[in-house]
Amino acid sequence: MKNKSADIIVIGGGVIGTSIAYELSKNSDLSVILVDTKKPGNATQASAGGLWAIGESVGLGCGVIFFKTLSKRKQEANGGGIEIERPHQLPPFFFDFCLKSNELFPNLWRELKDIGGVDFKLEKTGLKFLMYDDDDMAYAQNIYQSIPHLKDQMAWMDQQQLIADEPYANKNAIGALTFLKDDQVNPYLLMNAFRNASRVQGVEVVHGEVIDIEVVGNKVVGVKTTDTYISCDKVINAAGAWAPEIGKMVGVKIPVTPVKGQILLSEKMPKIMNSCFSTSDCYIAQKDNGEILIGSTTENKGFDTTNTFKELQGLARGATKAFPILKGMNCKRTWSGLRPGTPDEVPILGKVEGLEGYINACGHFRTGILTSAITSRMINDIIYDRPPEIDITPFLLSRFKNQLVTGYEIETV
Amino acid sequence: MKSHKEVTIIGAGPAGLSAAIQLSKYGVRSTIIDENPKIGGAIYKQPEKGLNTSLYRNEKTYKKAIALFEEFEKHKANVRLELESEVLGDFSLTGELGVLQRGKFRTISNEALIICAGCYERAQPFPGWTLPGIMSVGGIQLQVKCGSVKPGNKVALIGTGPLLLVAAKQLHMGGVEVVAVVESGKKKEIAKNALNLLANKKLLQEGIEYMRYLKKHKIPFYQGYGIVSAAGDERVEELTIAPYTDDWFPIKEKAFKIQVDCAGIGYGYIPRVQLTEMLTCEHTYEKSAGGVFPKLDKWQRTNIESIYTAGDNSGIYGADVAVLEGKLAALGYLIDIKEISEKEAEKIASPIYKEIHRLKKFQHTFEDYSGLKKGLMALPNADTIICRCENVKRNEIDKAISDGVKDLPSLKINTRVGMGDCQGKICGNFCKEYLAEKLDKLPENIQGLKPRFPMAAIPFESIIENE
Repeated sequence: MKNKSADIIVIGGGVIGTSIAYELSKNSDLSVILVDTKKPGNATQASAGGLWAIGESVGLGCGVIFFKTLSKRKQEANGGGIEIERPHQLPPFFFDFCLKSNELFPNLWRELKDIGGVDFKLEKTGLKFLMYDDDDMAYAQNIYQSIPHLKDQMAWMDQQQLIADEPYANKNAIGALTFLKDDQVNPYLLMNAFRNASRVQGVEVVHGEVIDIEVVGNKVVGVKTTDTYISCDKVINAAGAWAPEIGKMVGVKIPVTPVKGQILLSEKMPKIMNSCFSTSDCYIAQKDNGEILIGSTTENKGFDTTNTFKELQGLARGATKAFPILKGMNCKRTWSGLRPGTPDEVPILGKVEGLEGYINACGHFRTGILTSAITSRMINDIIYDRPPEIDITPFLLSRFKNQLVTGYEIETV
Repeated sequence: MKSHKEVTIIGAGPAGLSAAIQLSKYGVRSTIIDENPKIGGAIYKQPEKGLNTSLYRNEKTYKKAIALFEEFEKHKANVRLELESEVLGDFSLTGELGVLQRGKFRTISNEALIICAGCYERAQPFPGWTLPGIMSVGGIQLQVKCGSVKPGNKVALIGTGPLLLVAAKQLHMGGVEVVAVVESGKKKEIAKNALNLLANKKLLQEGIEYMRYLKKHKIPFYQGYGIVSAAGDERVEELTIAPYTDDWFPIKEKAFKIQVDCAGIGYGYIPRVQLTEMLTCEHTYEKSAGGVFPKLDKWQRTNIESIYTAGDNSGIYGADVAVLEGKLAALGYLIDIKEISEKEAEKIASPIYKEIHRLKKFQHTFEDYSGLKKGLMALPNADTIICRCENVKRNEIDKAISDGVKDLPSLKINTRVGMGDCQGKICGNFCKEYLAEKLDKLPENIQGLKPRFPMAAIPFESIIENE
């Protein structure tokens, strides 16, 4: 067993762990070790890479797809006559959390490129909610009216405008609601960019599985991996869907469950879309290299990361409906990722009562890529006992106090 | 009538056909799925109008093929043959395999499978290897076998193994000028094991005949030589060849050039294990058998119930062994469905095991001669493309390694190696060997790429239309 020591250990090499390591590395007096464990289903690598600050907050992206599927199943079970359910919106503090994080990206892009040499491909795309019928229109109007303070970040588009702007989109679509600042990045390059920059600034990356965390009295003193013992002052749990296992080692119960999402990827294509798209059936994003990514389901299958044909087909049908030109194109890969889902869909950040030196940075569910930037700053503030720029209270684990929660509960029929 | 799981044989090459025949002998029906328009697989590939029209019908391999096809014909009533059907993946939660048949996608049960998926040719990067006109030896041979187009007018065949000789003869018979056959194995390595060669006089005889053919037709044969680089404007025009050291590093001072318009490169084969990996079968590693392949018991059973494999995807030993393994896999299935007793099966299997042992022993003789050596890893220059789909150069891989990459999934994320349209089928194996070499590890300890549905690209149209 090797011995090492560090001021801070970050557990988790996904976008949250690497973003925190990067933020901490700005202080060269602090020694930081990042423990990276390979797990199939790692959400960062499976992600679409959308920075859909408003879109995600109002339930577009995966949310709206899931609720349509759910309504369909309910209709089938009850013999029709059930209205299409739509996802609920997240509370105002979550909007702020997402919007503030989104604003950080242009600077972050420059910084990370300068320091670590990785370009994570920030693209100004915007996100369009594509509408096919009155139902979609009513839903979009509902979204629009519920966030009057963000009107300057949204724009309506009628059929003509849509056809002019997106010539390959379904000609029968009646229009779109555009979220002007909901852009995209390449998710694994973002993670690489954070990691490289951290490295350059002195962070050590240790590969291995964390098997125990040592606590003396009520204070964390070290982390044991498969082959290394690292003594430390503080440990940050950024283990994504595996955060509960880490929490268990220090007696902290973390209500995070893996929420499976399936994704399809096309071969490289010439540019056929000028923005990202969300419909009631799927989301579609053409990435910087021309590949088109189609997601995603919301499933409770534990840590299973296999694909199922019916679900892939549902997504593919949604995508070919939105962009009929896709029919003649090839799908080259499919996969599944495990989102770290919490009961209220809000991440779990910050300290835990009665345990010194332990900090949560987990449960980022669908928005880990987007909110990695703000998360890392908030955690950095907590390390220095400064009040974070966004109030941490609604993110604390203690919000679940006296509640019986295990993680994100998927509604079923 | 006994009820049992319906068995699907994947691959209509020698192993698959042989398994189907053996099952049929016991009245057990099977379905064979194969991506080609005709039976035979790669080794027994048929021209459009059938083997009997082939220029090579009097060659030994073709006689074997014709005999196997004739026997298969007798059992056809018990076999449902699904040609032009490609297995694209496993959906374990629903117990299905996805199959694309002439543009139509469907799923079939994955309950009982005899997987005879064959092998791939191992891609060997070197400066200029992406030039048009440079192909795999097998690729050239397939063109010749189909009798469709001539791969070129002046062809060199470079690499190692008997296929070089076979291809040279076939090309020459087809009217192509073969300017050189370059075998990287060294004569002294064969001499060392000469006694073992006698284990199979027939095969030895075959080899000698091929050599005689080259001699008779004045086809230059270089032994202990190998490729250095290729050059040309639009396509390959010139190859640089050099003698190889014992570790197969080219001795560049002694290099020379040959003019060609086509080259076949053949440095080894890799078992096609994507499907067994997706099915989560346990795999093992043996360099001399091509690398990673499923761990099997004596009835070709994998560790997963009702999944058997036979032929080159269970270790590269060629068509003759494949036929025998196909029989064993069928016997294994017959035992498992209680069609025959294990004792009865053993009686049939006993001479099969002996024959397999003899054939493998003969092949192991060539391990030192034809086994791939370290020098191959040093062939690509810093700016040689390794991943042709994503244009990833060797120096980008080197940088990733110096940044701490230790396995293929990380290499992929860092460099896009294997993310392209072929999903790493071409460069994945080389990258694995290269990582192993640079990290001073065994290739078996380097985590590989994870196969996913679809194992070959599928049009979205085919995904959405299935009901």
